[in-house]
Amino acid sequence: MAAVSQDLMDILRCPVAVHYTDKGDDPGKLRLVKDSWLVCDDSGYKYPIRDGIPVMLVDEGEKWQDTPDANLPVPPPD
Amino acid sequence: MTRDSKSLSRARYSQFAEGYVTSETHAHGSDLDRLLAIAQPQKHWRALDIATGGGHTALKFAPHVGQVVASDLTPRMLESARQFITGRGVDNVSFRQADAEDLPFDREQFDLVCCRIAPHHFPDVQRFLLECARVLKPGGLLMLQDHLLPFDDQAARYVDAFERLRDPSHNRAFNQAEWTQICARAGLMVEYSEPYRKAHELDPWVRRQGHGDAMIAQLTALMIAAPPIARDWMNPQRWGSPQATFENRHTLIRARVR
Repeated sequence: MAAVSQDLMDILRCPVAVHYTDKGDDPGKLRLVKDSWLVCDDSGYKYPIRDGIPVMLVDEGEKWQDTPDANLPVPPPD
Repeated sequence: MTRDSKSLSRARYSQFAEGYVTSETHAHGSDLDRLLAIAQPQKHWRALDIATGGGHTALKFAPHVGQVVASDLTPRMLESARQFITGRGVDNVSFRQADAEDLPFDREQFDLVCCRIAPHHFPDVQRFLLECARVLKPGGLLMLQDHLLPFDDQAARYVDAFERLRDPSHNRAFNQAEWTQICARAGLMVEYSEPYRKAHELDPWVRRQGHGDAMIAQLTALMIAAPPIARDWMNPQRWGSPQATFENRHTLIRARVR
């Protein structure tokens, strides 16, 4: 089973970038990386999925901002 | 204050997560039935339960809507809620760790947002309400339940202080006029509200937050010294005995996005 179902991916957004006004009509979209991370290209924030639960906290997303996708650890550490 | 206050909430509710799942007060309140009756949810609705805690509100609404997203700031609370809900065979609830003041959702996605007995922990309730309004569909409903304070300022401060002594992550509560005002500022029109009295036995209420006899003694003394309006508001019974009880006053609010 996918970590996050498609219909919930459709409504989930980066809590920071969703407020951006200079990133088009639908800012803050997320893409699934390594089936364990939700990455926002608008903000660069990266949100871990721990035990099947996306951790959509701003301070958590910020922590991984400078980590390239390829270096994101799997599974995400606690 | 923001980060500190949220860290405090996270730390405390990580420690006491299981107690909130099994708490009679949180699980079986007739206030949950009232919330459901007032909301009148529809089968096709998508609902968001913010600060789901033990998951009781999400579980209550799940059979009456299409889908529930349950969020909480605290991972251990979410894990307890997930075990509690999925253990009952409910499969239309999903879980997100999220901050009530920074919701990770696109605008206009939910028909219903619920938040039960939690906003008094939030450092910025106005921001939380703005986020609720943002993620609700046009005409969508916000169902709120939280502590209610008396209109008298001194009594209100005293009631808040009583709560905060036992739970330092209790930030502040509001009176009914304040609720209506801050909802309106967020673009949410309060259509209906009703008061609710929630009785607590002092002893388990104190121990659920990890305290012991010393805290019971402090709270007992605080109540005895309370100004009359605050004491009437909390309605202590058998005070000073092991069977001591008091009441939380709550408000149940239905507000609609304008």
